[in-house]
Amino acid sequence: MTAVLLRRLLRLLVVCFGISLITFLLLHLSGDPVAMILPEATEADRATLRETLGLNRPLLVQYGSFVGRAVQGDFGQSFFHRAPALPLVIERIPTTLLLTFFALALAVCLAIPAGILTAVKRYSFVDHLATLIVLLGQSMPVFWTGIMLILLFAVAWNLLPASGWDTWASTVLPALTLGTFQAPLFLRISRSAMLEVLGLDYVRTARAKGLKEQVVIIKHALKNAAIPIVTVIGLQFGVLLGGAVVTETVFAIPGTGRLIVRAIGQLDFPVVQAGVMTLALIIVLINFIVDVLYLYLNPQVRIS
Amino acid sequence: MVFFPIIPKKHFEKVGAQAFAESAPVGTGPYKFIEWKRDQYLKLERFEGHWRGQAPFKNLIIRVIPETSTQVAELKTGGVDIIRNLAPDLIPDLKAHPNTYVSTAPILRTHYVELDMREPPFNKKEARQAANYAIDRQAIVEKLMGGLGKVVPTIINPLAFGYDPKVEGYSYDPKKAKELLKQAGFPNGTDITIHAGVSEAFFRQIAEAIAEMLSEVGLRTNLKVWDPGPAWNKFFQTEGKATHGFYGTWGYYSTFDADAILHPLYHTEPGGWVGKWYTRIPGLDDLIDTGRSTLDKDKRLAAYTKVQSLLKDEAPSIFLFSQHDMLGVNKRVDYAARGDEWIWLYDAKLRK
Repeated sequence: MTAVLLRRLLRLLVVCFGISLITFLLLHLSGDPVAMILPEATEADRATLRETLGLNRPLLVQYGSFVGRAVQGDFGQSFFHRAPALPLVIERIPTTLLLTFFALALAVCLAIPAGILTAVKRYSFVDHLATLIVLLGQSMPVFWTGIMLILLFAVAWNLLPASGWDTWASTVLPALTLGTFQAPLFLRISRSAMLEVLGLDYVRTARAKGLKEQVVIIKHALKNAAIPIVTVIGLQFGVLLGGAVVTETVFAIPGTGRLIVRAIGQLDFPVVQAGVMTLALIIVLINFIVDVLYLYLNPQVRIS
Repeated sequence: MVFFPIIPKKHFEKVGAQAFAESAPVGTGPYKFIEWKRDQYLKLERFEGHWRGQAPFKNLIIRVIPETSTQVAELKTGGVDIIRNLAPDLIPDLKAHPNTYVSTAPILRTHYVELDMREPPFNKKEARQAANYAIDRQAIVEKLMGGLGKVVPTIINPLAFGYDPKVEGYSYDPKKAKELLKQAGFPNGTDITIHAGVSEAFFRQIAEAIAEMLSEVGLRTNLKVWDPGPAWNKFFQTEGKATHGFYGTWGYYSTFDADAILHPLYHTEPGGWVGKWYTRIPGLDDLIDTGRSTLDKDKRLAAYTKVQSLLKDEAPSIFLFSQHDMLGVNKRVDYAARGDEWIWLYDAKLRK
């Protein structure tokens, strides 16, 4: 078991290294930040700035010094904000984590019971209704849902603030927006995972033993159905960390996604690198936790 | 034209430049600094001892809200009182809403398509003139800008010093455009690529309309639309070689003077803005230099008059139109848009 964990940990390190290399190369392919910072300048001025920023060195040297400093937590100064890049990212992590957590919690609380219910009562009215809701939920683009929720809850009914991230009330609509988009996926996954498990022999055995239906479903079936569900939740967590840009934009939330997307537009290399690496690290850690959860959920994984 | 804010020397030296900018700025305005949160808000509070008398509001918050529909929702619900840079298609809605109104003012920002004079087809004067005759400017102003714009004869905005009302702009004349294109050596038209730097949503619609109109006279346009960041980079890094021209707007740095647009757009000196790559008109550099090197009004005017007839003839750009500053305002507040695009909230009033 320890060997399995160690092997996974090593693999994660390799992944992080790969991400740093790809991010670095893509950024340097994307354009010249000096041309962006000094649009009206002579070539001599630009050369000076290039030297100050260390951008005149060979790529390999730049990458080496980037990795060397990055492992110590130093990603350099933001070209645009004139502040160290990593703190800019770190100060936004709580916001992003909170939004992600709320959205996922909401989606999980709604979707998984619904998924189980529709699996148990297959082809019933409830099942058909859920299918319809899933279809709706996944067809609505996030920005549209967000704006509709604002129009209803803020403009028409005046119940919640339309944007911002300073009060608890202001977190409701963004979480609802993201959650609405995530829930259908979880519902589908939990429904199909449950359906698969419910048809298996051991469930029949459990029923034959005379166990209560609730016990059969929650204790026996759900635990085995949980693996794909946990996988997808873990994956979606990663997706939301950097990918909630649209929600962050609609609701004016100062999250990491928006920071990074804007930094890409500004060719602010240090911020993009700090942001991508921080998110990558978090995602990699979550994957690791999911892996550990597998070990608990499925004894087979422990052996292989 | 020149803007020098006054700051206290001792305080600046004590806190240093970084802190002065981020957490401890002190100026001479009617509000004092409370708090700044990057990408969220700037909080200010009325300075009771201001020399002009108290400002109209005790607390002033400037918020960052990237999404336009959200800005509109906040405005309607009273979450904010003024929003900037409205899209023209939002104006009817905000005019009709019981809580909001719209205030607009003509500004210096001028739209253009800079043409690459170094390469075919726009190294030929006739081709550049053809492009100018191809555009129905009035239709764009009416249909895509809600009428909030004014066709400019050349690049000089009528609000700017140096504007010559005697120069007549290009009319909309597709027939003449086709003829000129033939004279330039393109009887069957030609394929071109135009890049558009789009910082406002409605700029994209304008760029698309222009591409369509150019295509109709035979300048078959492949339009590429960019956000301002990467677009900038594209133009500068490739020295504009990837493109036959680009659509953009220029705000004159809010300076009401012809030089504020002539130099960046057309002067070819190294270290200048885009003229050094796109524009090749013999004698134009000298005229621009004359205009900017004397304070004698008449001499400057004379230089700019010459510049405008030269521009009209040489057509280094497709000259388009100016636009308005468009503010959405909550009816709790009295405030009017200004021609320089500044927002001076000392002049705002609470209605009651």
